[in-house]
Amino acid sequence: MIGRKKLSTVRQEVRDAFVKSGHDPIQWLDLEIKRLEHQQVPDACEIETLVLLRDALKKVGNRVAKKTRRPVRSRA
Amino acid sequence: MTRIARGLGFVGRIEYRHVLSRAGGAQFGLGPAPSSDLLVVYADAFERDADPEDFALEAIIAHERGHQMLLRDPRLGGLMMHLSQGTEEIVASLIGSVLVSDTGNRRTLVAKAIGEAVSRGVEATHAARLVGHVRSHLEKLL
Repeated sequence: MIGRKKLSTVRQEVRDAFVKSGHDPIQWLDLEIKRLEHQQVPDACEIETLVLLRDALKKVGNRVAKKTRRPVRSRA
Repeated sequence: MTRIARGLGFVGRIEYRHVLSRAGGAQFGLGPAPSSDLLVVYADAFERDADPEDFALEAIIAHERGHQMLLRDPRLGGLMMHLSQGTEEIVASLIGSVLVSDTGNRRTLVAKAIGEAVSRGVEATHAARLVGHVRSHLEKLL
């Protein structure tokens, strides 16, 4: 079960968890992505995962900017 | 809904129930054989899908497909035995994030996995590194 927590709440909680541990999430993730990219054998999937997280968290700050409803899908 | 589930490789029956769930929109049920496994999608999955601030239908179904793969896929054999319920939710989201093709849904499922970890008390930077390692491992297995 994916749970009832809304995506926007999940994003905010992750962001808050970074702040609680003394880090700006975007700054920390940028540095971590750079660190992984400079490893002797960079792991593309690990890098992609942190990029995805960084981009997900970036949406916390500007979520008001774009609030278009997705088209309603058929239930079949 | 059926097209999405089958596209993600779901095996078994797929049902829609026009009621609100307490499960977040969908639920996986393990049957005696893969063909008897059950994916139930509830009305709230469609409400959530229509809300850009919430999970899309594909992400909700991919998470459930993650549960099915954890239990059924021989490539992940034995992994399930080592997982607590909370960890299973994290891994189900990560499997889902490997399966979906839409970058937005990959993003939301990775955020969900890390959100699950931090809500269980894992320190944020540790959670991010851990999820990166596990997702990379899963991608190699799948």
